[in-house]
Amino acid sequence: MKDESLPLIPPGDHSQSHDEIAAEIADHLAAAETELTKRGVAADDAKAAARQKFGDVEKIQKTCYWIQNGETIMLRWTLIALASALCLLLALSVFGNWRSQTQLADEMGKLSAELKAIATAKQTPAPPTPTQPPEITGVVYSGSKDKPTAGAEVAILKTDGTVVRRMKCDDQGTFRSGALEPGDYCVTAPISSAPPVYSRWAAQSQLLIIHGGSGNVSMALDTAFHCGGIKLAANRDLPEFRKDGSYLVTSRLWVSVVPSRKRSHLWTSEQKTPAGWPIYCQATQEQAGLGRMRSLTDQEEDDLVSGTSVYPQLKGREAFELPLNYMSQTGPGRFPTGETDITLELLLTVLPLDEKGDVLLTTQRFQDRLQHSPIPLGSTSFSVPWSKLKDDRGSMFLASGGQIWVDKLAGFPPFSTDQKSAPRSPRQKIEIREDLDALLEMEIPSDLEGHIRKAIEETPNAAKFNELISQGLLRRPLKIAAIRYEPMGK
Amino acid sequence: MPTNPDLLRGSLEPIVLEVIAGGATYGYEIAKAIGEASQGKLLAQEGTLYPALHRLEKKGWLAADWDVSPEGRKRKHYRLTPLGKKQRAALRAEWVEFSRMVNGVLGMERVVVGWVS
Repeated sequence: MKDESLPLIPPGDHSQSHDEIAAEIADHLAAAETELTKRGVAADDAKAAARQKFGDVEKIQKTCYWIQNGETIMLRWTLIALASALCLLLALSVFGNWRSQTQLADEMGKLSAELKAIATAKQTPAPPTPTQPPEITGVVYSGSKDKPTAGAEVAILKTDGTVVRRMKCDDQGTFRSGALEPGDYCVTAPISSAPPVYSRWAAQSQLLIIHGGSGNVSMALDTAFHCGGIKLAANRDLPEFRKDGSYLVTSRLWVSVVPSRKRSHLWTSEQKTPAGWPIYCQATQEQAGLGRMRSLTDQEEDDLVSGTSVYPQLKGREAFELPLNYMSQTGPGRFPTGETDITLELLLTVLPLDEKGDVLLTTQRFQDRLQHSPIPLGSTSFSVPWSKLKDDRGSMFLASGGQIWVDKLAGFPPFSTDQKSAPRSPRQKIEIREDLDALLEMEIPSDLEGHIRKAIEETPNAAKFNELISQGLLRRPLKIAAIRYEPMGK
Repeated sequence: MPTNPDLLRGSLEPIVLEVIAGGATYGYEIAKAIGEASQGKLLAQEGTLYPALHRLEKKGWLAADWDVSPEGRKRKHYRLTPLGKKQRAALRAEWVEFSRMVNGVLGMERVVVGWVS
């Protein structure tokens, strides 16, 4: 029986595949025949039986061949068909080209004549498209965009702090800088709704980059002073004790608050980029330095600009709100919202006592002689009254002529006179929010007074220390960094 | 009882894989193993085995090597490829599920719905 559904194996195709299939089937038939013969079947009968048991040899051979080679054969025929079609197309194309040659020659003649006419015609160049120099456009608002700041004075600055343009916003709080050269710019506008302390401050926008082809840059600047408060609480009263006829130890808390969004000067590209925008800064370089409060014992000038120092006698765990620390103004301290660096230090001050038991305040005008001033017994303040400093503005007062920096008492090593070795208390970060006072909790060691007394009277440096006290020369704080704090809400 | 060729068509390839996995390697040996296992009811015509073998080889489930038989004939030996081994496992699982389903439909299997303690 022949199977007509499959094409015949191509005549003369003795490929390995075809031969292999034939060999495989032949092996099958021979093996079957051998086995039948072994069972006693006659050779001819065995051969016939094997073929019968196998089925249609030719059909199976053909099927196997197509399983192995069908794809290749089909591909081959497809390629042949495609090649034939291409040949036909090529022939038609050649014929068509030959026919169109004459027509093409005529058309070329006409085109040449037209091109010649065009080439000789006078050509007028197209007018250049005017390009508009880029500018900064924006809106200034206070708190929310539905509260535009009409008439706000806006300054456009380069990132080196140079003011390149000043203008006023219109009634809608909008402004246009006018054409600007390519470069990096910022926009400032006076902050609104701020405490009087910040009346001269400005909100500074993020970096605005203008380059050729950038087009106009639009921006929005919120000038509202978003701020919050900070409260302090301690596990007990701040230490204070005296040794009659010798010294009085008082303590105060030194707090440095450095908000990431507050700068003493305008931000420039030379400075570290703030964590958030806008930032609040003093509007002009000329104003920088105004409004600083300088404590007689504060050493870190950078912190003074953005920070505050307080001298509260903390009572137990009663929360104490950090006050405004600015000139003679009073009120709660207000700090810009966002990430803020906090440093807390307990400063102990050793005050020499005179023979009557009064505290001797030793002050020294710059390059002048020491002046000893008694402070009434019981007074915990050691600061020179502001009124007195005001009268002598321009002079530098030192709280002591002594140059000893007692750098570390917390671990109670021997006193050091090496100022450079004074450790800095670690800064930690809190988040100031508008709707919640951050609470700083400080822990004062229970036996701190005992440790201090021992350090003053029993360490190897005690003799030198007592000598300085007796001479009224020791008026520097002992920094104690035994403090921890946790922001409220944690 | 002659086997229905429609039933055989779908089941021959898994059977071949099983027989080769069981040790049979060349055509006649494979055919003989299938015949013995089914009392001659499967593979009534031994030749139908070869298209299945070649399909499996084409799929890459089987690989083949040529050798010489004791009688001196060329002989093709088949073996499972790693892919073939994976497919064999998959086909077994399919077959178990399929036969269970068919048995269920034919009422030849009862589903256990409770425990007898």
